[in-house]
Amino acid sequence: MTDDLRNPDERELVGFALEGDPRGFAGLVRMHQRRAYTVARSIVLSHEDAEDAVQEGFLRAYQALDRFDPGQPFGAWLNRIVANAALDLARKKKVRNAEELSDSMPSPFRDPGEDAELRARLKNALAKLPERSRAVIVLHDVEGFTHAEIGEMLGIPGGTARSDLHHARQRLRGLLENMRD
Amino acid sequence: MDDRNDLRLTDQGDEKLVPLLRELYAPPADETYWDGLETRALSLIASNRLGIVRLQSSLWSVLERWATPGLAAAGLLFIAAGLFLARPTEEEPRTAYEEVTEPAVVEELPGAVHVVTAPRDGSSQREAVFRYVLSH
Repeated sequence: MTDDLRNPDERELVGFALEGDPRGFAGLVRMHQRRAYTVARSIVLSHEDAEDAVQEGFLRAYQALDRFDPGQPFGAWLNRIVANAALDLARKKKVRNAEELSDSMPSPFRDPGEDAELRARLKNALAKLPERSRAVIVLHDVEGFTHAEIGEMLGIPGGTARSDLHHARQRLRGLLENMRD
Repeated sequence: MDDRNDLRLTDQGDEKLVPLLRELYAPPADETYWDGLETRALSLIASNRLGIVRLQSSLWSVLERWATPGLAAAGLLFIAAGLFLARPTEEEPRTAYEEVTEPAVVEELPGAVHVVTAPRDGSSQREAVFRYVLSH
């Protein structure tokens, strides 16, 4: 194996990682971190928490690497682990006030731009949703995952993910209507 | 206040809400951010792995420190156990020997021949015979 792993195949990287070559897992982190961040971010309420969940997810995946079936796609396996790490983190932080959380959602990489009021109300409504409801909305409507993929990530059947999405949208709609009053 | 109606979701997803959600949940676009996240994730793994190695090596060093006294104690225990186990095996033949050599307690009848057996104090059988002859 060369020092420089340019355009490596995922299966090849998994093989290197399983052999204990640290460059193998480093390549997998590089390959999957954006998607892992998206999954984590859909569940937790802040960018910082998403970062923590991603790092925790990669650590858990590394520790469980010997239990990974190389015949399966690594990304789907990793996303499930990251989703679990994010759900654990979200549960730990549940005691915090939803208002506080929505205020603390920093977005250093976003243009604050137009329609700040709408964005603020949406943040408040999303913060009031249970983490699974928020996750299915974001993963489906924003990231374009299928119900089956969402189900796999969150450890629920695809049909449950579909009905969760329906109820989550209803709940979000209700919250946004309440904010009108 | 009317603009708030625009936030309502339809079953297909709201055309105004979805772009807002995308903006809200957009991952960082800066490439250096991802380099940093990758470094942090790998550092966490490395420090965790180092922690495990340190824990293992510290356990081994503790075990090494206790190896000599532990071996000595084990040796003493082995000797003590050996002695303890050897004792009954020495007593067993002696008990069996006594059973054979010890006279059975019987009531002495008049005219009965007094049998003198070899004493257990180490004197020879010849002495016992001599005492038997003298007594009759």
